[in-house]
This record gives sequence, structure tokens and C-alpha cells, in this order.
Amino acid sequence: MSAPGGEIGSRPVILAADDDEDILELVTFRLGRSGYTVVQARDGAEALQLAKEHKPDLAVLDVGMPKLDGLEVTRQLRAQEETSAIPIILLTAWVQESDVEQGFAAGATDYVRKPFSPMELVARVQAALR
Amino acid sequence: VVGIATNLGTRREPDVLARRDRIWWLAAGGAGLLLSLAYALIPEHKTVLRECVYALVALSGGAAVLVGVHRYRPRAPRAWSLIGLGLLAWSAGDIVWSAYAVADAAVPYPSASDGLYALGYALLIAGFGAAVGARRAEQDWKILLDTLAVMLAGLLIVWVYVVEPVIHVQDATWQAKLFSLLYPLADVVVTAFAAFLFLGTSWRAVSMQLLMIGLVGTLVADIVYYTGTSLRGVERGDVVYLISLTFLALAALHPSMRALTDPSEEGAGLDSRKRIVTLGFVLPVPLVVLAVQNARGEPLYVEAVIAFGGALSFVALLRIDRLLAEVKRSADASRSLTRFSAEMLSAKDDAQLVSKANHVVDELVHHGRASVVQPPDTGGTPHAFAAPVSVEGVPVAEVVADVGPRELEAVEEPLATVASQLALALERMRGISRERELVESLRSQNEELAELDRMKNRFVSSTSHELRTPLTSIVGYLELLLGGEAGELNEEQQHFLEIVNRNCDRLNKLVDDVLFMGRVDSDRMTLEPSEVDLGALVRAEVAALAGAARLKGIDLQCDVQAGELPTITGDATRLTQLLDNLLTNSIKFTPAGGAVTATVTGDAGHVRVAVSDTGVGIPADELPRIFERFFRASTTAAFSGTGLGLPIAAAIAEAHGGNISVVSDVGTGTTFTIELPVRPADDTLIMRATNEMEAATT
Repeated sequence: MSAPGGEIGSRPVILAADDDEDILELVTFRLGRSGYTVVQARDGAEALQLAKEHKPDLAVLDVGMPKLDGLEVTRQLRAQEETSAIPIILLTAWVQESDVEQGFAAGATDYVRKPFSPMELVARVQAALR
Repeated sequence: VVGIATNLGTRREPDVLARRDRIWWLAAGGAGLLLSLAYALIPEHKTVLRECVYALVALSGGAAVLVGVHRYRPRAPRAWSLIGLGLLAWSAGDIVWSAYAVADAAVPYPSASDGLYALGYALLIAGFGAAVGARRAEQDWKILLDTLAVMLAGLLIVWVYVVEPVIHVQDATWQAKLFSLLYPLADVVVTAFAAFLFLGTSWRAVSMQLLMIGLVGTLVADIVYYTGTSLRGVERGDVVYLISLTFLALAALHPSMRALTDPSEEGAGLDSRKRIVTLGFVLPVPLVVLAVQNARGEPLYVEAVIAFGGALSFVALLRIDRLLAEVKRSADASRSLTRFSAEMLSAKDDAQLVSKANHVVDELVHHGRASVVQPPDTGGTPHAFAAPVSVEGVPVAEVVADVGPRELEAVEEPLATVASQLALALERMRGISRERELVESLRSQNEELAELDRMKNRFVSSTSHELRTPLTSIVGYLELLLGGEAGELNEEQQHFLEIVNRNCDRLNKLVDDVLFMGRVDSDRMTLEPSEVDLGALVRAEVAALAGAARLKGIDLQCDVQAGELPTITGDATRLTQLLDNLLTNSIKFTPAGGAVTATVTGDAGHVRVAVSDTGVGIPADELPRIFERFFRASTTAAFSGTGLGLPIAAAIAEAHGGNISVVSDVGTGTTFTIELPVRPADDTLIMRATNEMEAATT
């Protein structure tokens, strides 16, 4: 589950979760190029499990995922002490005020609406890690 | 009179005299009256002439009745024929009498005349009997009681003034006594018949009125005979008799003569007032007789007076008792019917209506049984009363009663009323339920349509969201390519990918706009109100678009009113979206070298933003449609766009309680003006959002 270009431990680890393989690869590639190690999850349950396993420095979660959606994953991460401090960026295709509100209410640090510019995502990640 | 009457022909016609016939009819009456008068005026010594005139009138009168029968052909012609023959028999008796007079012979008593008179009475009584028999269907026992009362009164009078004196005459033969009694007694019978007809017959028929006058006249003539002198000269009774006979003839010659035997249409025997008045005249007769006898110093015949008077009182009491019962009955029925009318309005369904009707018909009938049968009783035993209850021409129920004829008479009308009221109520009920069904079907149709609309909105919304996922990959990888992440691109590759990128932007914008319109449609547009400085907002937006304008060679200017410009309550993001839509449009549709200007003005109540360009313009006939979704002016065909920019701008302006307007000339340019209230009304979306926010913070 490691991204090309680095080992876990030497670089900041980012958990990326999206059920769309292409988007997951896009995120992984862009963040990898920008110097992050990416752990990939394809649904909410896996994301939760990997988060506990790897204690990532940041999580990029798609909102609309099977099993557990991004909002629920965010809530559960926040609820557990070991993962409660991880900055979370939500990727959402549903960009209504209410969606955004729900995201922040669940404990998200930031959100990026789909479709997004990969570079913008990198900028948001950097900002969130700072 | 016969000749004249024959002239009338034999056509059958309605109960009104034709104009021509009326002349002859009046002439016949006039001739009869004139001849009667002439008879009275002819000097006593011209006996032959006088008796001839008498004979002429008397014979013509009887004959005229027979002519009337021939002419009008009543259903039961026997009655009038017998009456006519009876009158002829009387006339014959008179002629025989005249023969005695002319011959100046001594007249025996009883004579041949008396035989003929008796025959005349017999025929007349038989005639009236036939008339009464022909109208059997309309008779009721009350008429019989009333007639009995009249007859008792008549008998009392005859008893006191004729029978008693005649019985006490010492020197008369028994034959003379017999005839002396026969005439008045027969008169009483004729009077009874007259009373019977008077009480039971339709009084509107001219013929019946004339007949009554004639009969009364005949009786008066008889009374005049009894009380008149025994002079053999001009008897006043004779004159009265001739005049009466004229009336009887006129009655028979009138087309309404059929009323004597034919059933009347308006229903006889219902006029109680007429009968009460009659009883009122009859009841005091015993007292009057006593008074008269007492005044004349004659014997009082107390036993007879008591006997007849007692019987009379008994009949009258019986009548009054029945009358009161009838009145009470009818009041009860009317109360029941009124209550029924009210109950029908409150009934919930057909079953309740029928059960209430059942209750009321049961209440109406005192002796016997009545009910509402549903469905109508087709087979089975016939009922004394049956009224169909039809809804829209189809019998759905039937009001039936098994009662005796006397009870039937009392309940027939209220039962028929119940039947027709029930029919009306059932029909009304059917109308109501039909209306309900209609409303229900419209409501469910409406719901289906609303559901379809919601489905459409959901479909549009989810499809648009789904579009974003592939779009994310397209846009993302495109950026990687364009950023050289997959190796250097040559110039052509770069150019082509930029075209792809531009169209991705368009697609993305279209998805955004469609989603936004979907939110407007499903009332899910939400606003985040704050105090907005529109001047600053316009300046920022113009600055943001300055680059694009410069690239296209367009002079983009911003002109914000100097001095105090009020802030408005609004959603800055949405207002920016609105301004962006308008300014982007203007830049897009304005050729290079043109100008786009955003002007902001305001007063205490409103702030206006006008976006003017020197672009292609919009044809006047298309102006009313430009705020419709996906409508694109013909002049903008060469430009790309979603066709949703203006509807979205309008929706945002309206959500703020404002409006948008447009002025345009093809080739000259277009100006869009939005006008927003500084303090929107309470029912605007922005105000509702503000109130929600305030409610949330307090």
C-alpha cells in the first residue's frame, strides 16, 4: 500500500481514500510527486483501519464512499484519541452549504470540491500540515 | 233553444266555448229568459198563448239537455240524458196541466200531470244517481256525512212544513196525501244530490255553477208553489221554474258539462272550508225552524226537531272530530317531513338516507305498514301505495305502503313527498361523492406529478453529481499533462490539451449551473446573509474579470456612485455569482474594441447595478424569453454558453427580493439592471435565512 518514491517514516504519510480508482491514483501520484507517502484506501472501513494502523499525518477522504462515507470516517477518527488529531481534508462532489457545514461539523479540517486541481489539493495539504 | 243548440254542431272540444258558439249560447240563454219573462207578462185571459209559450220554453229546456249530451258526449252520457228526460217529463206534466187549464176543466188530484211529475222526479234522481256513480272514485265518506247533514236539515224543514200539515189534513184522499208528500221528499233528495255535487265537484266548471243555480231555482220554484196562492193564474213559481230550466239547459249546452260525470283533474273533495261553511249553514236549521214556528204561532213539533236536530248534531260532531284528527295528522306529517328534510342534509351516505326515510314513512303511516324497499320491489304482491325513488332516471328504491283505502288517502301525499325528497337527496349524495372522487383523483394526479417533478430533480441532481467524478479525473490528469508531469509536450499537444481543458471548464460550469437551477426548483436554494457592500463587490468582480477583458480587447469599467451607498442584506457569494454571470455575458457578447461598464447607484431604499455593453444585443421579440432556461438569443448563437446564466441571475435577484430588467438594441448593446432592496421584505428567501441565523445565534 505504499506509494512509489519513498518509505514510510522518512516522509509525511497521507491516507487517501476514494472508491474511484482513477481519482485515487491521481491523488496518490500528485501527493507522491510533492514528497508525501500515500496510503490508499478504497472504502471508508478500510480508511478507518489503515488510519489506526499507520497513524498518518493527514487524511484525504472522499465523502461519497461505500460502507462508511467520508463524514462517518471523519467522525470516528475524531472520536478515538489516537486518531483524533489527524488533519482531514474532505473531497466532495456535493458542494452545497449544508454539505460543507456537515463536513466541518463532523470535524473536517478543510474541504476540496470535485473536480479539483491537483495542485490546489497539494496547497491545501501543505496548509493543513503547517 | 233546440234549434239554436242544434246549430252548435257535434264537434268535441275543450271546456271553453268557441267565440262563435258563445254567441249562440248567450242567445239561447237570452231567449229562454225573455220567453220566461214574456210568460209572466202575458195577460191572464190569453190563456192559450201563455200556455204555448210555457210549453215552448219547458220542452226546449229539456230537449237542450239532450242536445248537449249529443254534442259533447260525456264519458257517462246516461246521467245528463236521464236529467234531460226527467225535465221533459216535467214539461209534459205541465202541458197536460195546461190542457186542463185551457179546457177549463176540473183537475182531479192526483191527475195525469202528477204522474208525469213523479216520473220526472224519478228520472232526475236516477240521473243524479248515475252522475254520483260515475264519479265514485273521487268520493269519500266525508262528503256522504256532509250530504247527510244537508239532507237531515232538508228533511226537518219538509217534516215541519209539509209532512205534519199534510198528515193532519182531514178531508184528503190517501192518494192526494201521498203525492203531497212525494214532491217535497223528492225535492229533499234532489237537494241532497245538489249538495253532494256542490261539495265534491270541481267548482270551476261553468256548467256545474249553472247546474247548481238551476237546481236551487227549481227547489225555490217548488217552495214558491207550496207557499204561494192557490190562484190558477200566473204562478210565480212557474216563472222561477222556467228561468231555472233555462239555466239547466245552458249548463248542458256548455262544454264543461262533462264535469258532471268525468273525473276532475284537480281532485275533488279536498276543499274542507267549503264543507265547513255548508255545515255552518245547516246546523242552525232546527233553531231557525223553532223560531219561525214560534213567531207564526204554529206548533213547534218538538219531537221532530229534537230527533232531526240530534241526528244533525251527531253528524256534525263526527265530522268535526274527524276534521280535528285530520288536522292533527297533517300537522304531524308536516313535522315529520320537515325533520326528514333536515336529517337528509346531515346524512353521511345512502344507507343513512334510506334508513331515515324508512323511519319517517313508518311514522307517517298509523294503520298498516310502510317502508322503503331497496332495490325497488319488482315482483311480488302489489302494494296499495308504491312510489319509485329514481336517481338520474333509474329507479333505485321504492316507497311502498300496505294500507287500507282510508289510510291511503291520509298518507298518499306525504309518502310521495318522502319518495321525491329521498330521490333528490340520493341524487345530491351521488353528486357529492362524484365531486369527492374527482377532487381525490385530481389530488392523487397532482401528487404523482409532484413526485415526478421530485424524481426529475433527484435525477438531474444525482446525474450532475455523478458527472463530477469522471470530470475530476479528466481535469486532474489534464493538469498533470499540461504541467509536464508526464513529460514535455510539443506545441500542438499543448494547444489541443488546452482546448480539452477549456471544454472541461465549460462542462464543469454547466454541471454547476444545472445543479443550482435544480436547487432553485426544489426550493433548496439556501442563502447566507450578511451586510454586503455592493459597490465593493462590483469593484472586486470587475477586477477579477479585468484580465479576461483585456485579453479580448474590451474596456471594462466600474462606476460606483460617489458618496454614501447603503449596504444591503444579502448573500455575498450568490451576489458575486450574479454579477459574474452578467459581466461574463457582457464580455462574451461584446466584440473586441467594445466597452462594458458596471454602474452602481443607490438610495435609502434600493441599490441598483447596471451592466451595460456595446455587444451584439438581443432582438426585441426575444427579450421576454431571455430569462427562460436554456433559451439563447439568436444573436448569441456563435458564442458558447449554458443558457442558464440569466435564469440563475434572476433567481438570485428574486431570492433577495429584487428584480432584474433588460434594455437592448441589436448592434448597439445591452444593459441589464438589477435592483435590490436594502431591507428585503420578510417573505424573501434572504430574510428567512437571516431570521434563521438570528434564531440560531440567540
